[in-house]
Amino acid sequence: MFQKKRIGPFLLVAGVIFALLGLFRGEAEAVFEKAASLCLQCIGIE
Amino acid sequence: MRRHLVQAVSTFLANANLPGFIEGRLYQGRLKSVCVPFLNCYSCPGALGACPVGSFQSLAAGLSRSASLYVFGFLTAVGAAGGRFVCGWLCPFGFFQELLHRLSSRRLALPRFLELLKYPVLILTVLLPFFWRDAVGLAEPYYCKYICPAGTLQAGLPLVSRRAELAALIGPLFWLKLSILAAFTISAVFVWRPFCRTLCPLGAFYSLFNRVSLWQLRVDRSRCTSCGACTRRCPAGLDPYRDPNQAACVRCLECTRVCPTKALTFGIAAKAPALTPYTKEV
Repeated sequence: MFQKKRIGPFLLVAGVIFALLGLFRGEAEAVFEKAASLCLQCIGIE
Repeated sequence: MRRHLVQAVSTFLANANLPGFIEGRLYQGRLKSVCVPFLNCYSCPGALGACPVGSFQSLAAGLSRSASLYVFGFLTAVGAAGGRFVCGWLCPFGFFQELLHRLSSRRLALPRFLELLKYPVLILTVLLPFFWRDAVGLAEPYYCKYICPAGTLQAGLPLVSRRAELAALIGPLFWLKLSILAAFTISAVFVWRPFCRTLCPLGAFYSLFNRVSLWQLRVDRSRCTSCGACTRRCPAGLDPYRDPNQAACVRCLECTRVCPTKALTFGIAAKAPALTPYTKEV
């Protein structure tokens, strides 16, 4: 139980670190390029 | 009621580009580089942020086969904080299904095995774009393309109704996706959140964190009288007082509201008293 209580905070910190690494890799720009364009597959065309 | 208000506000904030619905045009401001923590199609004319599932799949589908640390890390952090809390309180498509569920007093239970479907869906959503590629080496966001009913509702229907050039391109794929949306729309009237419980890859991902997340449902055994009020109220048909943090729970927290002795609470796990599993206690 003692250790299980620490898994959540550990994963939270790990997630934040991964997200920051992704930002440093320029992934926010890549996400922007995808999200700002019309996704034909998403609307069921193509 | 308070939860529905939060869901409504979340739905509005995530899709607040209202002129987009009239013009049939997407918002293209910088907020689109920010992922929202729930399923919300970024091709919805109102969407201000990016859908994490669409973003992850689209980046993985490119020639570079990029596994997005940004999206994965963001979702991990959100899941580690509250498990499926996002499903129960913030997701617009979950809210849509709950509104439909209020239309009928007839309630049908969902067979438990169907709730396991979302895990293979999650695995395929993550892996297929990396491995199922055409001759050129490109893949597609397969989940978005072949399944996602949120995309059909939020993006497909508004856009084809406003833009004739898109309506002219409607083919079998559109009808397939519309059929999936129709199936979940009808079933949501009788079954509580059928899509979230069976096919949502985000729900599957967040459910992996329910038992270890920072915020947890807690049962104070010294207060619990085993009256069963929480079980009767749980819309997912779970037993919160026996197993409060099971994967199927979307943390709507209705159980905490109806508990007459306030034995069920939602809070930070580190502050929780050591609990003996119910089954070992009796």
